[in-house]
Amino acid sequence: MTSTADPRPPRRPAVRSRPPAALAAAALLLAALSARAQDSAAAPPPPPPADASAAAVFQRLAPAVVRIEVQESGSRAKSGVGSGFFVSTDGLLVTNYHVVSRLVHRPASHAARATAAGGSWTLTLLAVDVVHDLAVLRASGPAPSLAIAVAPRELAKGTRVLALGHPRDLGLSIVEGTYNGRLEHTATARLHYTGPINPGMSGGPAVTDDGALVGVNVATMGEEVAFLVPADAVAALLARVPAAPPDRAGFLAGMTADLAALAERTMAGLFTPGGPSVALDGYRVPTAPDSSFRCWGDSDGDEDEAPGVRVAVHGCSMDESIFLSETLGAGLARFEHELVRGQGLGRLRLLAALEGAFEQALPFDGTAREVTRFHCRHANLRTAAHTWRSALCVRRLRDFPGLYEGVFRSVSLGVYDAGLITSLTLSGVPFDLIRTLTARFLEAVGSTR
Amino acid sequence: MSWLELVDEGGRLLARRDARALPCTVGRAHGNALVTSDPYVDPHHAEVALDDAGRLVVRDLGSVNGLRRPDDDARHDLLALEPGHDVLLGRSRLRLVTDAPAAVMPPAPRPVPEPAGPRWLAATRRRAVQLAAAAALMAVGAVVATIGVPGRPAGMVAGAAAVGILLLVTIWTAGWALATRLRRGESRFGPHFVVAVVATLWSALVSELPGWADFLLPDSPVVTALLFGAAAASWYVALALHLRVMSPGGGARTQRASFFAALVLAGVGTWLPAALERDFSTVATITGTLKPFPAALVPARTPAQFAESLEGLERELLDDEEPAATGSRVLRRADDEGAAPQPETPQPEP
Repeated sequence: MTSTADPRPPRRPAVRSRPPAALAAAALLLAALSARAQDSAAAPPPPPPADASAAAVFQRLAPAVVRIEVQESGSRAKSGVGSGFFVSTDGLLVTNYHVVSRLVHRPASHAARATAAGGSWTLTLLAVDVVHDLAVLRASGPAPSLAIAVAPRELAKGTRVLALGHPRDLGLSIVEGTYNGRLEHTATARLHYTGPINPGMSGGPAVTDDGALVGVNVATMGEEVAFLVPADAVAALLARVPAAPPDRAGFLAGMTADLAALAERTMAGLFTPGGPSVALDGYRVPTAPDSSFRCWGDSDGDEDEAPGVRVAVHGCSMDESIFLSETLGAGLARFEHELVRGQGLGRLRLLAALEGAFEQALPFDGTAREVTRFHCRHANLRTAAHTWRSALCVRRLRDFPGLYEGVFRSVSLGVYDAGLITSLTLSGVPFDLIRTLTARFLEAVGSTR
Repeated sequence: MSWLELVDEGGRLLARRDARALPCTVGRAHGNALVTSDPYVDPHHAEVALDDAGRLVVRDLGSVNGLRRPDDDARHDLLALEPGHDVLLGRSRLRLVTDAPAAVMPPAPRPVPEPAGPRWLAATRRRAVQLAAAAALMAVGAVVATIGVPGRPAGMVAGAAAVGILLLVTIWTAGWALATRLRRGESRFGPHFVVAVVATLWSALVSELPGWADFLLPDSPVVTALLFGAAAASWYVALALHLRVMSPGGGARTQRASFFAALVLAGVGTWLPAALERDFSTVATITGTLKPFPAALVPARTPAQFAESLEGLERELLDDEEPAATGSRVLRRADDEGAAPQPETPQPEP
């Protein structure tokens, strides 16, 4: 704990607003650049020889690591810069999907180019793995004679790993860090890398001393806590690269199928009877069903004797945010229980407080071309333990036909000393999954009385 | 022998004069030949004279409320006065009587005494009604506010709400009083205030109905209908009463006007927010009314039944097509048609 100056904890814990992996998933993509930075890209400065073997790795791999720039074709304006690397000598290139997402969403108005010491190439998008944030592109023209080998293997924690890329578009750099195992708290595979990964290095390779690919730079939380997409996900995507690139609809259909499959795999078993639960005053509420969820809790406490509303919160979220477009993400599942108690309040005042806490304007991401507005249904629902007032608001992701985003929020009725407000947010899931989980979620809330 | 007689609503004789002494002026001012204290009569309201054909007529002298027949709301500027065909001025009635009883002497024009008790008593009673209305309003405002804001000192919240609502109603009243003064030459603040209080309390009462409907029957068309009905009823009560105070005896025309104005105002209040809500937004707005009511008696479904009923929602979402043309629409078109970007010729570095 860094500060104890504030005697009362905040009503909502700061960490729960975004899962850690989401913090900087898109942050590595460097969008705004100075002209100076652009110049330096053409002629990379020699890296400081921190270590003889790092210098050797750099010398050997530098021709295979590229700077990728996505341009708006009308204005020739840069819309983003990242890194990438050749994985074959016939011109196949790997980067993060979030570096080149505009090639999927707005293909007619955007083009991508790769540059390295040995040349410059126009890129064609071939395949996308939206779940792992990977893309495969083909470079036009002769490829460098060296490519980075994708041969996944197990590493011990603590193994030295070198990451290459264009941090802040300052030229090709190599940084040294440590492999720290696979993340346990994510639905999609991620490697934990301790090293200074910075914006602009997205899509660059992270390799062992002998130059074998460990993963692809994808995100950072700052303070040298960074994440890689594991090499086996790269190998899996390379194995399914089509001969000819699909069109926009084809890409989106493939991404939709992947997301739907992920949602089914990670969420179809949620809130089944007998799942894990915790007690929250008189209620028994569902908690993290498996390790892909991270939970938090907080309470106003009773130390303050003034009459008023006391809130205790228990929430869980999948530690995940999948990049869909520059303005839209999919966070899969999140739920939160909020216990509202009145201290020294009469029934009517507590009821008014409950109503006020239940009625919310919940902001989401997205633009009008990507999502519909929210459509809502309201109902009074009765489960074995309680009676509820519920609202379900859902919107459709226009670009991902069959995927939806919704929030199901309920407040318990007829309990006058403490009311429970409980919310389930599902993001980037099929409509049937919303229906299934809507039917199950409230049944999972029991009573301890 | 014929007489001009002025009688009040209850038929009591206020003043009388020889019908041959013409022209005979009627009004509230003391210089008139026939004087009444009826507040709905102008100081110089009308005069009785002979027209070109030698008939006895009543002529409007530019009064606020004009001349009417007892059985008809239409306003006239000139009406013939014959026995059995009386003319209404405000709430007073002017009639021509041909065979007066000898016992009744033509009285001197004089102000009519207040109907009950001395003048100060009536005035006090009026004040008491207005004060009671204000007190009731402030009490209701205070109680409602105290329910709504838990966690703050109840006394302060209640006091602020009571003063606030009194201020609002006073401003509302002042508007009507000003309009009345412009039209009639007197404000009638007191009666308008009482009407404003009654209308406020009434609308507070009827606005409970839609909340209960939303609580018991969420998403039902009954809620919207009640919302509209309650708003229309409140507007109608307020408008009709205020207009009545402003121009008494306004009659059917005023009623009709209030009725249609109430429908329009209620319609705007009910459907305008719903229409605005249809605009694109990335905010999910959760709503739900809670009422003190036994949970066991609330009509409810199981979550499974609710989930079953969501086909309509899915259809609604699939039907939600892209918003009408905007700048980005053109861009989107281009993207829809395009496939992957066309490869260019490689440009090796020099």
